[in-house]
Amino acid sequence: MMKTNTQCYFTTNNVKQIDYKDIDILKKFLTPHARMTAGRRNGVCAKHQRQLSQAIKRSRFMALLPFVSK
Amino acid sequence: MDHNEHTEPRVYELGYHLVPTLSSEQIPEASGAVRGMIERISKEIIAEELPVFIDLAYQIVKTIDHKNKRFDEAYFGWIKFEGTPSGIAELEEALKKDENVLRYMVVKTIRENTFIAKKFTGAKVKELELEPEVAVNEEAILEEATSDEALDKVIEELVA
Repeated sequence: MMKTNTQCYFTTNNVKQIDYKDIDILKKFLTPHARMTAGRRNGVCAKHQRQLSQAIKRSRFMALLPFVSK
Repeated sequence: MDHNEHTEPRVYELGYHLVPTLSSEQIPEASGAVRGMIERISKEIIAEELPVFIDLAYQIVKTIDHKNKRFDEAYFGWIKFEGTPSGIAELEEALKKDENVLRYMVVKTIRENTFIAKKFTGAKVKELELEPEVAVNEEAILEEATSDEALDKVIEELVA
């Protein structure tokens, strides 16, 4: 799969810490099956990809995002 | 490392779900109880959002009186505060005992606002289920009013 974004979404928006409650933002980085997208696919830098995966897992635990879908 | 060596105050955030069986009038009391637990261990409460009614992404099971209860909805709220590691242990003990708390999570965070979106968007209105009934009633009233004058009167009443 070709990388579409060359810039990290969180770096360009100057995000210090990714919030697990921000489900609208987190959903952008999930597939229709609610799996996380790979860093090389979504263009997120390594630093923010680590934070993003942590935020998604927290959000799943709090039932704000599903573990599986469809 | 000894916890006492850590001099910098740590910022934590507590996210919690309250059981949906509570009515909206009981929510301030239940969230006040959670806030009280935090005030006991914290010097400063930085930010807070009162519980809002949301649909859960999956079913949560909680054992109440030796019976498994399943919940699809809950009131979700959060509080950001300054605390100590020993205080967090105390807080978690208290939260475990609280029957109104369906699930909770304490995370380390930063003092600044971490929200990109303006407000928590998952909220839904609990009264939504009642709306179709009201619509049917309006139709029934309109059907009853046969003459034009009576119809105008009824419409005026509904608009007012």
